[in-house]
Amino acid sequence: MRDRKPWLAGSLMLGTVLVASACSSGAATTAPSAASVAPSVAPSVAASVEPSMAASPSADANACTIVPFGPISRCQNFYDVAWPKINASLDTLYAEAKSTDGGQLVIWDWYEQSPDTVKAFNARFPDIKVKSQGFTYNTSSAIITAKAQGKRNSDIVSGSLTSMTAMYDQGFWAKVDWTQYGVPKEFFTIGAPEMLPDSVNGPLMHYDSTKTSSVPGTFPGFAAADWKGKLAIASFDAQNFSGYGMKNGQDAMTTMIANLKANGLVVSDKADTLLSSGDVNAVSAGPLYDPTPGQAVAATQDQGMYVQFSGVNSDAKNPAAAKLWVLWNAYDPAWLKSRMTDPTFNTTSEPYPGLPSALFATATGLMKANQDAWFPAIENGSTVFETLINRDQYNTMIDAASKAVSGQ
Amino acid sequence: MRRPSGMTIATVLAVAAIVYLLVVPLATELISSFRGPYLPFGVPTAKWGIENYQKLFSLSGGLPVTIAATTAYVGGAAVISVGLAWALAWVVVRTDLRFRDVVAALVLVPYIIPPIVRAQSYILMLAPHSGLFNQVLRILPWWSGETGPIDPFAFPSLIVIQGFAAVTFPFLLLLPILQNMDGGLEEASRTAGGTPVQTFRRVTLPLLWPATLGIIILQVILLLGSLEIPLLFGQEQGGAIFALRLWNLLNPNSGQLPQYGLAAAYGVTFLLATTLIFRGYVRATRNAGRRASITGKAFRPNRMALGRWRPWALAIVIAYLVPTAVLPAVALGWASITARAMPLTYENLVQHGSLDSFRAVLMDPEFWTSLGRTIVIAGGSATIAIAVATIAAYVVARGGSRRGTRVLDIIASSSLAIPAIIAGFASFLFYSVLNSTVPLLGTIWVLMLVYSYRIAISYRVSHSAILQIGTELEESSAASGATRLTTFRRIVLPLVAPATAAVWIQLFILGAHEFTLPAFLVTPDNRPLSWYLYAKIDPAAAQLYAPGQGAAMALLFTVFVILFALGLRWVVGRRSFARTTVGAARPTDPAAPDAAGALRTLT
Repeated sequence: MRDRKPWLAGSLMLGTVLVASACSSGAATTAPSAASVAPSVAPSVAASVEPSMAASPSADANACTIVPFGPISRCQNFYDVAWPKINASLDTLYAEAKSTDGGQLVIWDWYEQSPDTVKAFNARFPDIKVKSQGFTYNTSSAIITAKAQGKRNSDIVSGSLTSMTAMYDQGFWAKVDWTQYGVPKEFFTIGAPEMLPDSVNGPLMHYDSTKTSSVPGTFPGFAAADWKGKLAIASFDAQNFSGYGMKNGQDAMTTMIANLKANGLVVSDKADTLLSSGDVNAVSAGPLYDPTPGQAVAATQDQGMYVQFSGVNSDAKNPAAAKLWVLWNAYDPAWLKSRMTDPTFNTTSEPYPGLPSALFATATGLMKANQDAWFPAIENGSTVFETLINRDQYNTMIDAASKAVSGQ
Repeated sequence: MRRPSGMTIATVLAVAAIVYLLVVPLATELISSFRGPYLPFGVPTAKWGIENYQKLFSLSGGLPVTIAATTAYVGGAAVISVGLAWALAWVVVRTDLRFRDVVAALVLVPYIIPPIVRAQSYILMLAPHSGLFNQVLRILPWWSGETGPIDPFAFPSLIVIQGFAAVTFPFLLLLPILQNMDGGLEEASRTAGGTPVQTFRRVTLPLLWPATLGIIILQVILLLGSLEIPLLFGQEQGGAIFALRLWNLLNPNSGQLPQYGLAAAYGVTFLLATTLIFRGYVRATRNAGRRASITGKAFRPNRMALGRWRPWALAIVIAYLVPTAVLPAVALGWASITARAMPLTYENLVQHGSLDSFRAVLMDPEFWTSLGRTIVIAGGSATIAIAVATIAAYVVARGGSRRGTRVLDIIASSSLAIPAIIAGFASFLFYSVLNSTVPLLGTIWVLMLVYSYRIAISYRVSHSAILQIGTELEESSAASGATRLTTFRRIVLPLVAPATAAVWIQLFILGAHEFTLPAFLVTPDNRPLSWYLYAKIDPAAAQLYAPGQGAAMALLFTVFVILFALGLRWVVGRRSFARTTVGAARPTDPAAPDAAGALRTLT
């Protein structure tokens, strides 16, 4: 008769390992599932759920240590568990990219990449020739049109869920599994799997702190008498009010905008100049790009927030180069450190908050000013994130806000 | 079969070029207006239908509001600008006002500063609280408070601002008209006992009315495509103005695609309107020759002595020039020595003023690259327009009143009826369709072709210049055995060269500053300086945003354009003098078309 003890011991050991790994994956996934639920309910609900899910070091050494950050899952040990694999992927992608389409990489984005940014990329990947163009709101149209025209298209697609709607719905986002390049699966709770989150963005209220000590914390607050004629907004920033509409309803939003207009809201595409000259005390705009001392920004209750995504254009001529840029731009620690600390790169976008808090602790200058305004608002749930679930409703709200601001 | 002559081939090529540059893009726009809401090809929604026109003529399409707002805006601005231009031209040409030449030069300043940067200076002048002009007005006893009195965002203010900003072009058209008007008839009226007012009302005005009406109509068409003032100040109350309506349709907010189909329907509808307006222009100027006063050797413009009114006239002229020419130049200079917008104060000058922006611009390779592109595009397009238009003008001028020449005359003049924003948009649609076969998009050649659409200006000038040349010279050439092409090349072209050279310079300046035409076609590979400049002053450009550098770029560019144009004028003037001292025609001979009279022919 065979001795059953070794078999039993082995089974017990296997069972122990299986149970242990189930516990660790459960710990790693519980927070993300709450975060994935969060976008469909108000962020404040997620925030009330989240605190009980404190950072829990995983039993699996290769898994993320997740800390909730609003609806976002922050991977605190990202550069220990995820970056090595991503870094190795970059070398493989580089080899493929430089031998494809003559090493050319075309980037059409919201704004044109500065020569310094391209130089930083080429410092690590010298054989890639980058051509960049900025299209702001017309990025979707430019990409769709280029395919219809038979023109060399952008290799990269990018944008927020609302700004990319047209090109996403028409199938321009190639189905890329970013996790195979090492990106944690916890990063894909807000957008679709082929959308790599690389930054975050949202409205901010700009003001000159040497002249104005503070600004109201709510949009309706600017309808007070002492703010008559003192708030400005550019026509293309009318969407800044859409988050308020998502939280309080479209009618409430249009009424609020009407009240602001009755209180002298100035609509001009040179709103920044009006703030600099002192003609208005505050401007509702996007991130702060003005390094003039005294310029300050603040978040507003119920404002929108957008995760910005990048991906590979299904019409790309050099998909490898696209993936190379996207991963490098989003996660390369040396590059992100430059963006955080070097004034030359202060006007690049705020990195994705799913990255470790230690990264954001290094921020200086404009990067610090913007994140100091956004991050507390994200954490306390007073922002309304775009998600795949609320995207179409958000688009409707943006359209309504634009019409209300322009008086249509 | 007889081989076609060189002149026939040149004529066919010129006609084909005119049709390609003008008719084909507009035909593409017309087709696009019946092809779905977005692109007219290559996308699932590109289907034939009338939905765009249904939307346009429905209440939500906004057409009635657009017509009303645009009529008020463009009509009001045209009357103001032509009225001011008339007064200024009169004062410069027909009075003994001191510093007339300085006044004439200062009126040109708004024309020379790139439009998109002029907009920046308008904000610095007209901002309700800190605007220089508002601050100056508040010093006067009639106004007080901390803001205003001018609210630049109010609709009536838009009309006045646009009117003041658009004076230069009609001024340039009126100058030669008033210079070439014989004062003998007015002298006769005064001798007969007429007061200055009676003389003006019963002699001067009837003489100049057709030309003035022609200029008003031209100005209306030009203002229809003017975008910078509505874009800057009109977002609150001017959204229904045509140019801004079209701009907003083509630059939608988040999540939406541009409504090319609806924009094309708008464009076609307004093109019909401008065509009717243009017909009015043709009728108004058709009989202008009957009112031409004689320009003999003894002719000299009659200058009115202002007497005790002279200081008042000078004060009024200064009151106009300060906000329109002096302050924008000052504001531009201020913006170029400060990195960001800030009030013009001594304290700010000491603390923040520097030449760093100029240094950064001069060391920026993209500045020099885009400047080089601008020179090539503007120079090339001016050359194409002049070449095509001069051949067409010769064919029409010598072709009698046949139907073919009449049709060519209308088509060659028709670009006057096409606002720049429609031309730019139509070209974008056309080259989008063409690109899969002939890939021109993203190249400087497509911009050169698009800029060449302004054929009418050079056509009208060349046509009038050729009419002034007696046919005996060509008959002598033919009798000597020269072909028509040789006669055209060696007799006609040198004689019309001074006039066409003046128009070349004008077209070059227009092309160098062009912002609207390339709006839909610009890429970093073909970007002219006007668009690189725009990226510097547009906050949405993020990483490129540097308004101080944008202002410095604009100043450097303006100086360059002035020097280039003056240099060209000097070269052309020397060559014209050399030719006329050797040849039969002298500079004062009315048979020799000259640059000074060139613009008169537009009216």
